[in-house]
Amino acid sequence: VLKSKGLRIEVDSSKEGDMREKGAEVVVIGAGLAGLACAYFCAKAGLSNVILLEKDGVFSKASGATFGCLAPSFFPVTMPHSKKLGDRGLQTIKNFAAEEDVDLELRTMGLLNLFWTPEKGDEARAKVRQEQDAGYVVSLLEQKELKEVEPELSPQILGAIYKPDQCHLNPLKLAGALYKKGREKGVRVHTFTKIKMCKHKGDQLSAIVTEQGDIETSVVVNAAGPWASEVGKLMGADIPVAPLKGQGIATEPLPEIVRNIVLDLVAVVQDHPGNVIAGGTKEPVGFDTRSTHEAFQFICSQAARLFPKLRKVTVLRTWAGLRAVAPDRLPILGEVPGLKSVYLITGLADTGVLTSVISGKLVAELIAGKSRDPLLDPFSLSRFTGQKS
Amino acid sequence: MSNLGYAQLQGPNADRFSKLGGGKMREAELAIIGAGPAGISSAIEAAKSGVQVVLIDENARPGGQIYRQLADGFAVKNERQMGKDYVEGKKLLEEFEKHRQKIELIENALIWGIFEEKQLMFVRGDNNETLKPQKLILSEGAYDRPMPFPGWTLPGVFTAGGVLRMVKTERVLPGRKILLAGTGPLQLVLANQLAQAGAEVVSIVEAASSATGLKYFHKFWGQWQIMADAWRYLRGVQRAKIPILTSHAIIEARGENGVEEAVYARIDKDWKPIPGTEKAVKVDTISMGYGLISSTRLSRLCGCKHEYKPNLGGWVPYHDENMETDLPGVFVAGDCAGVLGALVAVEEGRLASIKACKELGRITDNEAQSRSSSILRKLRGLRRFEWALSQMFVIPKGGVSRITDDTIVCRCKEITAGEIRESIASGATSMGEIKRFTMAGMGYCQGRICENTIAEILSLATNQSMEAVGFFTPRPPVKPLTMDIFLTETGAEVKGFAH
Repeated sequence: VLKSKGLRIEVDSSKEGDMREKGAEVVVIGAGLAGLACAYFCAKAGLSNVILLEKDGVFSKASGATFGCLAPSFFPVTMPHSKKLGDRGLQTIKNFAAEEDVDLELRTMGLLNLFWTPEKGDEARAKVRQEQDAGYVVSLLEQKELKEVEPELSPQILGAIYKPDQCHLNPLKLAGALYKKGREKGVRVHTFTKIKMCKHKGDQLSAIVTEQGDIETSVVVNAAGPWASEVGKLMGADIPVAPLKGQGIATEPLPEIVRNIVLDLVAVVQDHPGNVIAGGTKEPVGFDTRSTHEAFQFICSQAARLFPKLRKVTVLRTWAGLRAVAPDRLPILGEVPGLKSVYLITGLADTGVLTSVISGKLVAELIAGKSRDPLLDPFSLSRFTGQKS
Repeated sequence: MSNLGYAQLQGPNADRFSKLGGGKMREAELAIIGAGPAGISSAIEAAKSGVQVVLIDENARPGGQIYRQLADGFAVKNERQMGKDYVEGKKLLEEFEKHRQKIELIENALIWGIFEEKQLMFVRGDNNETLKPQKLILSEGAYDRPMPFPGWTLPGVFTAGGVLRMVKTERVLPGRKILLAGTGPLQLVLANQLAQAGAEVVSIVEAASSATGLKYFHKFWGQWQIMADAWRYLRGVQRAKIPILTSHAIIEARGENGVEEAVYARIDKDWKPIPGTEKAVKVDTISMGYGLISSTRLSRLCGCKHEYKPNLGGWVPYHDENMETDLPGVFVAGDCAGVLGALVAVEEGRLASIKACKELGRITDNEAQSRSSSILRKLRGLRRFEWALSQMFVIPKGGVSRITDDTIVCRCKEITAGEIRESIASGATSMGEIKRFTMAGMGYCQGRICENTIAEILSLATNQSMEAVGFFTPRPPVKPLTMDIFLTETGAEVKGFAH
């Protein structure tokens, strides 16, 4: 339900000098991590009139419900483009934090993929060799070595694939910093502002019509996550993304129990203040974000099975969010074929924290007229439409 | 991610996972949550109607906060001294005992979630259980309204409800030299109880002005029992020579490791302290009694529509004359539906239950109507009185502006009013945004303590109504619980969770 927040956009053509929301150089739709990053980099590139529209509150959807794992090596060798995007993504976030001098609670953290049977152990060994050949920093840990790396893991686990050089941060800090720094650079954010329709002049978009007024613009970025499909329809574009629900739980703050990002049937990680976070269910149930007891019990059971110590620990809270997922599970980035000056950032699936900032940056560079980064090529919308952008 | 871990459940720890998801699913015609005045009266009416009723409560014995029964080992010598509530409560509990055989009472049970189709999940002992009632009555009660001031997190600062519980039920004194700060008649009750128990009540600091009482005096006409009680409490305070300072409020608690000193000041009509009127007194205990907030965790989780009623406990579920919410078959009764006290709660509980019984087909329309009509009449009088009382001790909207920036608002995460205001200045206009910007409300209490204060700060700063501001998204578990309660074997079988 959209909350009425009064007139936020000043649409006043009668007074000179107060036309600030009358026309925009760029309108970014969606104030999740991707939209926030894109608006920030647009302003940073010198675009003077960047407006960010959000139908709810800022980072209120997936970006406020994510774990904060930055694990480029999560992508297997069969997904080299995603791996590359992830590597650049991590670097972009690190550069952002250094340049803007913000504390994102970013720490280096290992990634563990567990195995429970000798057969799966053999598969893991083969995978490790393959990844080592491809240049990943990766090793296979047998039970004894695993105990040193992750001492509280259940002794029933036989081993794990270990990637020591991954990272973790506080996603709320990242989103908050992008928001704050973007605003400092002139980005204007309008929350609780829903788009009603888009006006066109020929094949060019001319205005975004919101419940609070019109904004004239010719450049639009659709960064609306799973709602990108709905927003796309208003613009006349078919964007094949669907929501994929994920639920998570957080425990009370604890002394160190979990040292790495641990992946099994659920993901488990311990954040900076010490809360153990677990979950990451994948539920194709549409736009439903209610908490369910089935998922809650599933996550608790799985987390406690991995870390027996968690059994006696207090669960404080649960949440749910929606990822945006394309049919091939890859991001959709860049131009929209057939629609001039409309850009897309969506389909970031379950690696949104890692890939959102670089995606926002690359699209901002396109808008600012810089040369097109070839990193975008494999993620074009044209892979679904067959059209050339 | 692989899916094979599940096979390992056959191993040595398999017994730890033997509990089935949500325990066995049970059904009931009517479930009542909370065995306070409203819940007990609801259960009695249901039993009278022959409805299969389950009454669930967190505590070891029924009674709720106000009719809380004494711990074993205590005997009451003078009933009158225990106050009218005790006598009323005893009457109700005796009636309850008469119908006890027809009521299933589940004690020591904590509801942690309500899911689709009124499915209740609760924890009793180490077990997680499920109950699916056809009709549901929520009587969650209310809790003390926190009113942050610098130093309120020091040991020695209590809520009035907490102090009352200690003195009345546990028979212990929170301290020796006590300052009562707040607003409303509970302060007088508390002063009497403390003085009788041998504590020194330094003074009663009352935020309302002495003139407010007269304005609403005529509304009390006819409520002789209640007026007699009020007179008795006032006489008690006078006899104990406890000064009452009207138009005053506590502004600071000082001390190293606990309360050593309290600072209060005269306040204007917006509750802003008037400079130069500050006074410091040596005390070891401060009681904060700023009234009650309706407990609405479960009605929110149900998805009931809520309204904001500042003088009746803040957010309360919308309900019709028969206490039914906008969700068919879900009723509310008692302080959770608006803080109007135990007498109103009892009647609301009866009303809700009669309507539920009628819908279940256990009593006829005529019977329901004849049983309800006298209750409705009685309620009108009671509500008028309680409403007048709440008007006398109303907290002004601007009240939160006096909370200084360095005052902690979210105790769990130690977030100050300044940090909340900073997040609003940087663009936050909703509760969710404040939560994500500051992490307030993410700790142990899940926002129970800070939510109201934050909402009021936001409402005042952005000139939005409390309805527009809203509340934190409700999520289970309603209260923190240990993980082992939820461990299931079937959890892993749920399809579609992991890939």
